[in-house]
Amino acid sequence: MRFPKNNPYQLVALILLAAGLLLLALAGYLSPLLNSVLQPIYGAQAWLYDRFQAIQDFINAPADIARLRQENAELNSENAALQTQIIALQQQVTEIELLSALLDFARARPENAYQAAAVIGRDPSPFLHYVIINRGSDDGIRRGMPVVAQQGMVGRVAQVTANAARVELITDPAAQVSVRLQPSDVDGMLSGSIIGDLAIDLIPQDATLQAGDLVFTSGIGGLYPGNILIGQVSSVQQEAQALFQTATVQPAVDFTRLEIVLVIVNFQPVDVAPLLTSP
Amino acid sequence: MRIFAGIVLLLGAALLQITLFTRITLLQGSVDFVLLVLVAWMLLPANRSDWKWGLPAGIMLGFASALPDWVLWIGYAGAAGICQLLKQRIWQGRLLTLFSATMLGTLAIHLVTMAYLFVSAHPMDALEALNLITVPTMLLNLIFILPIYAIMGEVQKLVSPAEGRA
Repeated sequence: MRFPKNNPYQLVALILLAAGLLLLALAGYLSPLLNSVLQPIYGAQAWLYDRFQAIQDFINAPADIARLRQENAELNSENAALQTQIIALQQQVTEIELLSALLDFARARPENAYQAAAVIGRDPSPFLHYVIINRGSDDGIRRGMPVVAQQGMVGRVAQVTANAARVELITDPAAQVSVRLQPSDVDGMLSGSIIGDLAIDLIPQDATLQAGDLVFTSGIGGLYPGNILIGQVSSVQQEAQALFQTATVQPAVDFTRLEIVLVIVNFQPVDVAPLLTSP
Repeated sequence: MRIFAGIVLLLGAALLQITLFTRITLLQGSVDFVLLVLVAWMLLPANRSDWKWGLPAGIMLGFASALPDWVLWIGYAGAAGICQLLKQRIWQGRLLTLFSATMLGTLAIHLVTMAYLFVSAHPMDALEALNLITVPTMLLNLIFILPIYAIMGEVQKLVSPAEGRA
């Protein structure tokens, strides 16, 4: 652009014109005019951009699909890994809850020493009620040691190998536990059955029992420690001509969902059998 | 090779029985996976039926069960013997043989177990045992025998392809 050097009036007029336009634009008076001028330009620009973008997408599409597929596969893989991690963490939480409950149980009875063990199998015969735990004589487990869970009595160790032990549950038909009922404070003999039901026999006829009474180990007989919860009475059978009452018991422990147990390792079972034999 | 494969199968079945299949229950009965593998393996056309197959099955379960070993040996040998008899006599009706062997095998093992429990003075109501343990176990075994027979057939083809086509 060539400025008019020789004519100062023209220069002043141009400056005034520019300043006027600037002031009008700043005051907003030129907006309608500018809009009407720029609108077609914007339209043309948008049309051009859309076409350019479409052409660019068309050219780059195969590469993008491959990249997206790869990303998708990676995200799926990551998702699967995270899901696995979530399941593992949920299992850990469940395990920690179980261990925490067992710890509470152990803290409530500080006189006992415990060895925690996981249930790794069950007796293959449906007639017998035994579980197999992953602790054996190498871990200090001995035959006859009582086994408990956070809810109460589980059973006692029946057989031991170096790294595993078989636990006879109190629901096994061969199991017999001396028990005390609360609040009536009477003793009885709890026995299991082939179908896993628990029943108490040898309850004196004059004892007053009712459903809901709690059943604890009495410690009599020396096979089990005393005062460990077994369950609660669900029904009482009293017959006039019978010598004793009987009661059925709902166990506190859910034996079908047994996962972790505690073996009381400082309990020495007493074998009273020699004292019972007649000379 | 076939004997080796059979023993490995029974060992695997015993492990699965102890850890997994005792949890699949109906009333008080549970799937007898070892019996099912034994029955399916023996009744495959290419395999020779022999009651002696019951002995390794009993020995393997004897390690985990509180039942005396001889009870399991007799029970499973009896079940295998039933398979042997049925395969010889009604060999043309494969499904009939399969279901009959499963039912009678379950019954044989449970009867031997119940006889032992009765003799060893365990408190037991035989009718209750039959209703709540034996019949549900039989039903579960009948449900599981067909898929296990199919799997055993595939295993047989893998172990000895030429005999598997027989």
